[in-house]
Amino acid sequence: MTSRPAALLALCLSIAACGKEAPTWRADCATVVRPPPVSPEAAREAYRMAARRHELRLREAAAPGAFLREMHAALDPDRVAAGDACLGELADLGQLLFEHEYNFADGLGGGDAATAPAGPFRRVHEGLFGGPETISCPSCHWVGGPNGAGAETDIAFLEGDGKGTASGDARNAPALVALGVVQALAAEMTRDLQKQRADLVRDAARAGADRETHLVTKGVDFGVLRASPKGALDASGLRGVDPDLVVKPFGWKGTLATFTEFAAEALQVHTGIQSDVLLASASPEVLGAGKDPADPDGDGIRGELGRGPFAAMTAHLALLEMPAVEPLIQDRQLPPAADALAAPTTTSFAYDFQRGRRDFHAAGCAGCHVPMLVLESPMLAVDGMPPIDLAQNMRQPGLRWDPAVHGYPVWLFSDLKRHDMGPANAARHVQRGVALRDYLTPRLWGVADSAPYLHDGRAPSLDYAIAGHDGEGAAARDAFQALPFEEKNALRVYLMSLRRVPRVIVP
Amino acid sequence: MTRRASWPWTVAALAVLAAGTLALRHGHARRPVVPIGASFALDDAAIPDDAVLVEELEKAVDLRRRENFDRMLDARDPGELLEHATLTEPALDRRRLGAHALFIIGDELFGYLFRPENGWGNGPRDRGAVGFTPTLHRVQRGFAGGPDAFGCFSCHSKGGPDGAGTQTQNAFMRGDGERTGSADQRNPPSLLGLGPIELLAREMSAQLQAEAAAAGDRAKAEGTRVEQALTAKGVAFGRIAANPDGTLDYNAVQGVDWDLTVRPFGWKGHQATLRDIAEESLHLHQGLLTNRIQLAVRDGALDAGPYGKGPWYDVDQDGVSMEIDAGMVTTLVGYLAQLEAPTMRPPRDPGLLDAWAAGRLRFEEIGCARCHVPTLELDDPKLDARLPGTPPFVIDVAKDGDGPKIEPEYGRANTPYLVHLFSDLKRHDMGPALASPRAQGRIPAQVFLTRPLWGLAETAPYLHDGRAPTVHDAIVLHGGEATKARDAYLALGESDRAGIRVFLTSLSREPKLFVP
Repeated sequence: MTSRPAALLALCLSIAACGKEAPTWRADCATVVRPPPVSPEAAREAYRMAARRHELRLREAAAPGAFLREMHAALDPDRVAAGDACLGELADLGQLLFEHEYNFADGLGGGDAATAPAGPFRRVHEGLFGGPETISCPSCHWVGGPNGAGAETDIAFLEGDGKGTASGDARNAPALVALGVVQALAAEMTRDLQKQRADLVRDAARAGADRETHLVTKGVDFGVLRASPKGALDASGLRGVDPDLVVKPFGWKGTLATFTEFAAEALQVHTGIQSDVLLASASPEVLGAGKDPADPDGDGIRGELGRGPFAAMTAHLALLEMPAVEPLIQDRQLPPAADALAAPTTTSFAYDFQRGRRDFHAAGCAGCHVPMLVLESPMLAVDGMPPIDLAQNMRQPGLRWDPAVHGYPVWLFSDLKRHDMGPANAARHVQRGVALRDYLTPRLWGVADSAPYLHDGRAPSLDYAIAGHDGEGAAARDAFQALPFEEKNALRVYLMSLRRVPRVIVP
Repeated sequence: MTRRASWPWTVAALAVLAAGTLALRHGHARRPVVPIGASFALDDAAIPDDAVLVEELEKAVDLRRRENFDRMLDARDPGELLEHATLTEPALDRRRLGAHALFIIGDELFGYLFRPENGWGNGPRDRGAVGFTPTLHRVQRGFAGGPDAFGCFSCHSKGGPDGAGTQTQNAFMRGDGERTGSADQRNPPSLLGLGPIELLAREMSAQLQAEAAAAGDRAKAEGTRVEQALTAKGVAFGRIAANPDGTLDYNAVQGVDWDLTVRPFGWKGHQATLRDIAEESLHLHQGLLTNRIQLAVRDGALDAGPYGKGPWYDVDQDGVSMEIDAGMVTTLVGYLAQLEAPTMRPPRDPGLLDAWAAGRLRFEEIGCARCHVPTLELDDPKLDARLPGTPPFVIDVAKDGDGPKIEPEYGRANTPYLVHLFSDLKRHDMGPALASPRAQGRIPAQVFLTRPLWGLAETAPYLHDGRAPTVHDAIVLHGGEATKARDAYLALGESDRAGIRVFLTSLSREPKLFVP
């Protein structure tokens, strides 16, 4: 284990304050006990949330901008960064922020949007700056429950000319589930790949000859990396990952390594809300080229979303729950839904589920939609706050330690790797260097609750989602289509068993 | 006055309080835990009793369970879901099922994502080809429509089930199929309370037509030209003139078509019944044709132009000839007619409550209520969900389906039902700034129906194309006949304006448990 000192050093460097104590969360926070998602207590909580949302909306009607001003006042980024806050509360505030409908006082849109006679919206994005095409996050994240997916009507048209839908890249909003877990998994894979690279470079140097290695992490093969004795790397044999060996699990094309980067960019391109986090990192193409560095979109609102509220959003997103893999077994007779309607029969889908699982592997789906990856450590590093222990804090269902795999099994149904999906799926724009046909394997967890499917939402059902596979997915598609109908049925039942856990809400 | 002005200080005080606590932040020792979201906290007053809560929860879970079960069945045996989500004509004829069954079934149909094998979409394509996937048209193609959606709920879920559409869900109607600027944008309105609205419109139409007929009779009897003011439910629709020969002169009729049929559906008020708007929406948004349309095309009663170039039994050339039968439309209409009515939810914060009360009065005082008439009275709450000519399937919009329902005025016998819709169901000229790119049928570009404001809080963004993110922006964008009311709003002091906004934001819908 020669890597341990190096890892320690890296850890110290990343904290950038080795002498000092690394920040941790304050220990005196009341434990947030979240009720089971469908329970009277959860129902009460949902009513409370709805009442609060209504009251906040009334407050906002009275004094536009009041909500964000109060958010900024209540959340001091330095305190949050030092861990002097309670994660559960932070996440609750983040949820409120997630649900907030932005207005001009908040900084909605850019430029003279507030006074434009036809309104501030632009349904097709104009370049990297974006729209905006909406006023809130749930606008496109609602299908299948809170923080859910988008409908086909919510499809964004990225990087277009601002006018025609064909000029942009159609993108279907994915469900926001277990983002923290996904980021943690990808970070472990990145660390692992980069360690293999370091080992390769050292081996090549020691041997004084070219060396190559097969990069494999968590059972996923990322191709071949070659190194010369002088440390020059040949990345041409890599598959599904950038030469920097950073696994980027966010975005349909796998363009970002952290959900915070994603959220900051989404707020800008979809609502025109510019966070301080984005101001610090994004280019003028994304931000707008206004003269005031604190207001590059030129709408007259400076500091639209500070690091305090952004940290709340981060906490909310980090702790979102995991979907479940659960065949439907109806073992008790239910009453009919109404007089004279037939009652649902008692039936079990467990057999179809098992058969479908076998078919899922046999047809080759599991080659990319790898059912399970093992997360070694539940600690999630995010900007702006101490590391988060997901196992302790995330919403249920969450991570569970499994001694059989020496870690936390994550049933995400993806290899977090990019694949060539063929000409039928080619995009119009190269996004952050990712080739037109390349897409990240979408995670199938919760797939039952996220129709329509595919990156452009053109598939209303699983059959069409499968039919839309091309390129590296063509063989599995053909294998599915060649299955006898009862096997197709079983496979569908299996996929429909990948669902989000029902949750009581008051919309 | 002092109390009325006190609410902004509550907000300010909260902010100061929060800022004040932060001023202490530079200390070394950690302070005791103060919930950082204290100003966002609320008490439990809004929660129903335990018994009610548990019952509501069970109902929500049952609905979810039924949906889950049906979609599993559908996975195992494709087609099951749609079958379970539809009542057939024979089933309706047998009349064994009540309004409640229709409601449950219609709810499922409303959430169903239609597929090409159901007749979704149009145009000749090789649907059997390997790799065939549907093609969405976000911008519609002339009168042929999109399709731009797979299901009804894709554009009617904001603020809860059967709600409005978000800004992204705007329809781009009668466009060139590509450029958003070529189209007439429409923000999907909320679907709550449509049953009472259809019935109100019917009663108003009957009243207007009776007035016109009476004027005609009088002119004939008296042998003179008779001028008659047209008024329905207190709303003035201009004047009609009857000539001695019985012919009518409609030139002074206002805000309604010359057939004196009040059409309350669509942003411009172009459809009179739920059946018609549902049929039109299925075609434009999902490429689904009803049997009625196909038969009308066959009989030459309808121009096939907007529907396609195929033979009458598959006009839209998608290889499916039975797409939407009459029973399916009845299922949808019967469902929609049973939806709840929106309600008013005044603020709980005492300062805001004062602003709200003042705003409610100001709303009338400055003339908003002249078009956004707060209440219209409905005499008969019975709506037949079926096609005329078939045995009726009657929905009582004051009783059937989800509450809250419209109610009669308290304490009076045989009173009409009060519908607090905040509309006169009349068309008005809204001025050039809000005008559509072009006229819609006979309705000029600048003319729109007074949008009912009930449920408003849950339906941002506002106006026909959703260009207004807030109520304030929406008011400011009023023009034409509403210019005076808008100017009156702008002439008010900020606290009076805020009161109006708070009042409007209290027009909401009842909070309800739901398991999506």
